[in-house]
Order: sequence, then structure tokens, then C-alpha cells
Amino acid sequence: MDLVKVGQSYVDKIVTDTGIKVLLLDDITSSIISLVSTQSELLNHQVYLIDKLENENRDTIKQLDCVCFLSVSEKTINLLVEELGAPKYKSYKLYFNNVVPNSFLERLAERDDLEMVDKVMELFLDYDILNKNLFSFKQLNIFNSIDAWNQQQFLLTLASLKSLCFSLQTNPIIRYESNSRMCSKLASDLSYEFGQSSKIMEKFPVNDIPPVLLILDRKNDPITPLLNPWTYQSMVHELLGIFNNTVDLTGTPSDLPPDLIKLVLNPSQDPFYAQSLYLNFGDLSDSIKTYVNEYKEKTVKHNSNELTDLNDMKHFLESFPEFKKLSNNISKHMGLITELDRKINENHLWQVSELEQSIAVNDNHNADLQELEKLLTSQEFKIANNLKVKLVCLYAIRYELHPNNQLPKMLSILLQQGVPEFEINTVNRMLKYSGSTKRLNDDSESSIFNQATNNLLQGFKQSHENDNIYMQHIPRLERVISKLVKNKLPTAHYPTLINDFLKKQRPVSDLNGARLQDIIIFFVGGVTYEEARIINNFNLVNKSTRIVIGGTTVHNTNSFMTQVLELE
Amino acid sequence: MFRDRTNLYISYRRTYPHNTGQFNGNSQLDTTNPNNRFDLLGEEEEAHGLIDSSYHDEAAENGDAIEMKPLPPKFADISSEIEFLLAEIEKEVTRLNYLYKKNLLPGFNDTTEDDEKIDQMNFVITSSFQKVYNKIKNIDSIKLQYQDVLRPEDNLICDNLKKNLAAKTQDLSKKFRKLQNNYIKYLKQDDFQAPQKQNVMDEWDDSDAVNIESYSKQAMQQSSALLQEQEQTEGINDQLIQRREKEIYKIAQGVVEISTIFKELETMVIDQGTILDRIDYNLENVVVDLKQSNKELLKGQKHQKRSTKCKLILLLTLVTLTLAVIVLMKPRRTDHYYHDTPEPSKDTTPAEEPAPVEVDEPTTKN
Repeated sequence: MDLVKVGQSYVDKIVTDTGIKVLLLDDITSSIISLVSTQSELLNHQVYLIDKLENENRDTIKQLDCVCFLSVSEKTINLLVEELGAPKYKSYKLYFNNVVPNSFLERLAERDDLEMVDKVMELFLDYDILNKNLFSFKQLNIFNSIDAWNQQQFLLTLASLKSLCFSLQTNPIIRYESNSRMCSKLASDLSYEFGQSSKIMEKFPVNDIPPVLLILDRKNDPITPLLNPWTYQSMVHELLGIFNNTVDLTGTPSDLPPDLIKLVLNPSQDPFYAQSLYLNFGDLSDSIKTYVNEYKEKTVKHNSNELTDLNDMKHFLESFPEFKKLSNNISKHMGLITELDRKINENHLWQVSELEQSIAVNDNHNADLQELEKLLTSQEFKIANNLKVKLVCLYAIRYELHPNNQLPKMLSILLQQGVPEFEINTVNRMLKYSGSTKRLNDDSESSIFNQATNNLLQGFKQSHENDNIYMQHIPRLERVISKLVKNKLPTAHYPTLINDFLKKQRPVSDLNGARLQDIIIFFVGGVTYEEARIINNFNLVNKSTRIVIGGTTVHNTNSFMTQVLELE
Repeated sequence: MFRDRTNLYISYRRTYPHNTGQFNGNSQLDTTNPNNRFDLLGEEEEAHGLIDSSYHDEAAENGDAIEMKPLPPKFADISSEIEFLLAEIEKEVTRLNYLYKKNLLPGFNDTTEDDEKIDQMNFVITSSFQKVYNKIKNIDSIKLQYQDVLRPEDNLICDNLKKNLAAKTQDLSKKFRKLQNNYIKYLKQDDFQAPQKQNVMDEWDDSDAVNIESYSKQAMQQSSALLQEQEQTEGINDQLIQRREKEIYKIAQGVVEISTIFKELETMVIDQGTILDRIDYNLENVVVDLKQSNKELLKGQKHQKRSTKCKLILLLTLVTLTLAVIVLMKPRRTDHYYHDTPEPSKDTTPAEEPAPVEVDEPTTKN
């Protein structure tokens, strides 16, 4: 269940044919393929021209074969029909990234008078692969209203999730959170679709223990996306924003050379990043320090006349091309970390985060209230508006049912501090979206206000960083997984759907007590990088279990608050 | 996991009646939609224009005119040529490696023959690299030559081809240099004069020695110094040492040469792991580039038009000027004869009038 490998195997399939060729993509597939392959890799397979189907100004090159990797939509099929009517290349091989309806194939076949098409294949890659166990569908406006799908986005999510399961060769049992209508709709429709796809699924390997797809709703844990994370990947996303595994540093005050403005952060192409993306800020600083020292050691030796040492020399000669790469890589990460550090100090994140953690974890209303008031009105720390609103959101969720709740007072303080009214609205919307009555009330133990201490769950063998006051909160997901793996999630709160085909294929026996192996977790309303980190840790510790996680999008605090604010 | 739908597609295709054609695509027109038909016709004709032009290849090669050439095949030729050369180099390198290994083993056999072979192979490989490099560089000049004919797509293909070949060549040259340096190292290691040499090395303080050839350069200098030394001091006339030093010198020279090629290629390859290696980034940039190049083309056209206009104007003014001068000269001569009469002023005015008539002539000729 390594998504990166899955993606790369698909790319290989597309480009393996020998000979110089053109690759045609569309808006959707170009970003999908960019995450798993690179320009130089494609060049290596003699793909010398890459273009978009949407580009109408393509010239005719009758000498070249064309390979298309396209998404399945009305728009692309129309364009493709046009293309086949007036072909620009020698031949066409069509690869679609999801199931193609037969009607689309008929339309293409009708127009293909010149028999230009040699091959039609369905590859199931209708999702973005961010890490080896994190995927995203890049959807932001999935809501029609609170707990109701936007129909169009729903269909996209359904199709993407289907392609994900197909690409991993799984016909999963579906479980979902009972309090969410969005989850249940997605689960039942998906289950129906799976029941209809026996032709594809009959080729899948049959495991003793069937894989599970768990569909969760973001509203059941609004805390995690609100807290400031302190691990590398999460921090970059929180403070700078990662889009499609790239970071754009335009507009930062530090004067960076032009080639360091737009950065690629892809763990499969960047060993240092792969090593340190889950490290916390302290460890990260150490890690980059040793990295720089290593580099220094290597180059300084070659700068001086220490070159006389033949072994050194030999090593240097072998690794010379790596040197430029290495120095580029170092300056990239140095630039990023410096920028992170600047943002932390600028926004007084040490202070803010301490309070956040205290609100999220401790049940100490009066102290938290005092501290909150102090930070909101503080002259010493000028805190940005969105951070203030976020703190009040946390307070509102945490102490919603506290008898001494002072939320109105906090809201009026926000107004006094000059925070625009529409931003303050976020707090009320947040309660409407995810207040205590909206959240799944399974048992007290699974509360979202979890502390790391006395939280050594089975399955998470490594102890949490209890001593780190900035990382005390543990996302709710961790508890859910530890139960799920042992198949102990209560069916009352997490109903089970077994599709018709799976029922036919084998009698689903009583699975109680069996340890699950393959799990797909999907967050309706967006996942966070922190949750992906938890899954990564879990996979490291439990070799027998393989989990991938994803969501309609990957949130940071700002995108989450915007999503909530835009809810009607 | 994937699903092949080709058979289904083909069966669909069979069920539809196609007026599939006799010889060319013209018969494939969709008669149900007149608009479409004419669109297609236009495009078909355009395509024909391109194909037809390929028949004039010979004429173009004879230098009669720069015709539309089907470029991709031409570049494909270069590409396959270079790939062939690279494959050859790779074979040679493996053979060389085998020879080195054989030489590394201690033995009593005379290695002179092998040494000669090694020499020769080194020469072949180095010159092949040189050839490949020249060919890659040549792509640019071909591009320049056909500047007017090349479409943006063709340019892109060329660039990509170049990048790919450069990267491949770099990889191979890396391998070769590694091999050579290992061998030099071996030759040096059993140098009984090593400690002495160490001092010599220290004296060369090359401050910017952070590059691949520095070691080989040093080895070269060292060997040549040693050779000179030996020539001066008649006492040590050990042929074996001399031969080995020569060998080192030669190999090191090869490495230095290839390193230069490597560095030149460095500018051509994509920096891996940077934004330049992103597929979507490149796609966006191509669109921007194309737009920009279009704008520049238009600008260029304007400039060209303007410059021809300018030339015309210049020509006309020159003509008028010379005519005016001629006209002015004439009356002066007459001045001498009819000094007191007021006639000349009348003479000049009619003389100036015909000037524009004459001026018009060159324009019509143009």
C-alpha cells in the first residue's frame, strides 16, 4: 500500500513504449502526474513533447506517436472527439485515470474513422499522491450546507475514492461515522458502486481479512486543524502553504535568489526531506545542522590541498555531480527553515501555541480564560487577527458546556481589538458546524481533548513526547485507529457496509478479534498533515498493518477556518 | 491495477460505419455536419502542405531554398546516432574495465601489450565523447539554421532531446571518470616514491580546486615533473617508471578533457529536484513562453516592416537630395554666363518640379 509506488507503476505503464512520443495531459492529470514523476524521468522515456489537450494551438506533427493520460469528464471526451476527427499525430494511445463509461467509448469510436487509436486503458489514478501514505482530492467547496454535499463535488469524491480502492486492489468493507449524513451518503453510494463493479474486482487478490475503508467526518475533530503543528511538513503547510507539493515563497521579506522562490517538496525526490518531514522543530534544527556540516566537511576538504588524500579524492570524484545537487538542496531547506523561524517569531507562536495546547488538553477553565484574555489584549505581543479568532474558536469548542462559559465576553474583546465582524463569525459557525451536539458522542474516552500522558495506547508503542508542551494534544484519530485495528469500533457509532459482491465472494465471518491489515482512512472535510504523521508512525511500529490516509483536501488552520466560515 | 478496454473500443469502432478512405484522410469527413467539414478540410489541406513540402527535401538540401522540412525525423536521426555512439562508449568502457581488472592482478606477464590496448581504448573513448558532445552542441546550430521553419513545438522537442542526451552523456562520463580515477589511484599507490611526491603536491596550492579534474591535473603535472626530473638526472633511468608515469599522464589528460565536456553539459541538463523538473510548471511555462514568443514575433514583424519603410524613405530622400544637388549645380553653371539676368530663378523652379516624378521610379521598380 505504498501510494508513490502505485503512482510510479502507472507512469511507467504510460511511457514504456519505445520511440519518441508526445504526451497529452489535461488540467487534472497534469497535476496528478507531476506529483509522481518528473520532467527528466519522462525525457528519459523519450517523451520529448508534453502538452495539454486543452491547448488549441498545438501544431500537427504527423511523425510522432501520441500518448494521452486524461481524466474522465464530459469536457475531455469532447476535446478528444474533436482531436480524433482531425488527428494531429501518427497514432493515439488513450489512458484514462478512472473508469470510462461505455457511452464515452462509443462516442470516441464513432469519430475514430482513421483508426488512429491503438489502445484504450483505464488506470485508476484519480487522486493526488502527496506522501507514500497520504492522498488528497484537492476539493475545497464540498458543502452545500452544513452536513450536506454539493452534488457535483460529491460525484467527484465518489469517483476518486473508487479509483483509489481500485488502484490498491481492494474491495473494502466500509465503515463510517454514524452522526454524519455526508459520510453515510458517501459510504452507501460507494458500497453500491463496488457491488456493481464485480468485473474489475474479481481480479483482485482475496485476503483472509478483508480491507477496511473508514470514512470519518472532519467535524468530529475540529481541534487538530486548529492547533499550530510543530513538525516540518505540517509547519510548512501551516505557515507557508504547500500546494501540490510545491511551496511558493514569493513576497517573503528575506531576499532569496530566484531559483529558491518556488520550491518542490517531494519526499520521493528529496532524501533530506524524506528523512525529516516528520521531525519536530527542535530535531529539525539539529538535523539541518548535521546536514550542513556534512556538506562542509565534504567541500572544505576539496577546497584545500587536503586533496592529496587519495581516498578522499576518489570519493569526491565519484560524488561530484551530487555536490551541486546537495548544495541546492541545502540552501532550499535552509531557506525554508529560516522562513519558518521568522514566521514563528513574528506571530509569537511560542506563546500562542502554549495556550492552544493548554486549552486543548487541560481542563482548567479559569487559568485558560485569564491567559486567553491576556493574549488577546496584550500590547507586548501583537497577534494577528486570524490567530486571535482561532484561539477564541478553540476556547468556544473546549468550554462550550462549561457552566462559567465567557464566550460573549471574548467575542466582544475581539470586536474591541478591531477584528472584522465577518471574521468573528467564524467562531459561531464553528460551533454550528462542530459543536458538542454535532460531534459523535461515542464514549467519554474518545474525547477530542486528549492529552499525551497516560495515553500509551496499544499499537502506539513509542511514547509520546510528553515533555514537549507544544505537542501535548493527540488527535482523535489515534484512538479511533487503535480500536479499529483490533476491530473494536462499536458498530452503533461506526456502521458497517459490506457490498453485494464481497458478500457473494465469500461469507464474511465474524471478524471480532482479528487484527486488520489493510486500512484506508478518508476524511470528509479535509485531513491534516499531522494526522498523516500519526499514520506514518503507526505503520512504522505495526509492520503487519498498512494504512493510507487522505481527505477531500489537506487543511491548515487558515484553510479550515475559511471552509467553516463559508458554510451557510 | 488497470483495465484494458481496447477490445471493447475496437468492437465499438467496427459497429460504426466509417467511410474509411482510399488513400488519404479526405474521405473521413463527417458529412452530417457541414461546418465541421469545412473546418476539417482546411486543416487537412494544411497538413497536406506540410507533407508535400517534405518531397522538396532534396531541393532544400541542395541549398536552393529553405523549405519546410519534417524536422522531428531529422532530430530523431541525430538522437539515434548519439544513442548509438553512447552505446558504443558504454561497451568500450566495460571492456576497459575488464582490462583494468586484469592489469590490477599481480602477475609476471609483460603488460606492455595490454597497456597499449588501454591507451588505444582511452583514446577511442575520449574522442567518442568529444564526438557526442559536438553532436549535442550541433543540435543548437541546426535549430538556428532552420529558425524560420521551426514551430514552437519543434523547438521544444529539440530542447528536450538535447537535455535528455546531455543527461545520458553525463551519466556515462561520470562512470568513465570514476573508472579512470580508480586506475590512476592504483598506479599511484604502488609508487615507491610516493612520500617524496606528497611534498611536491603540497606545493601546488590551487585555490579553486573544487572540481573534478583537479586530481587528474595534479597527477598530470606530477608525472610530467617526474619525467623531466628523470631526464635531468641520468642516474635513475628506470624505463618502467617512465612508462607508468606516461601512462598516468595520458589517462589523467583524458579525464581532464572529459571533465570539461561534463561541465559544459551541466548547463544543458535539468536540475533534478527543483521546480524546473516539475511537469506542470513546465507546461504552464510553455504556454507563457509561447505567448511571449508570439508577441516578440509580432514585434519583430513590425520592426521589419518599419525598417523596410525606413529604407524606402531613406532611398527616396537620397534620390531627391542628389537630384536637387544636380539641379542646383546646373543653374550655377548658367549663372556664369547670364550673370545679370533674373532668369536663373525661373530656371530652377521648373527644374525642381520634375524631381518627384523621377523619385517615383525607384518605388515602382521595388
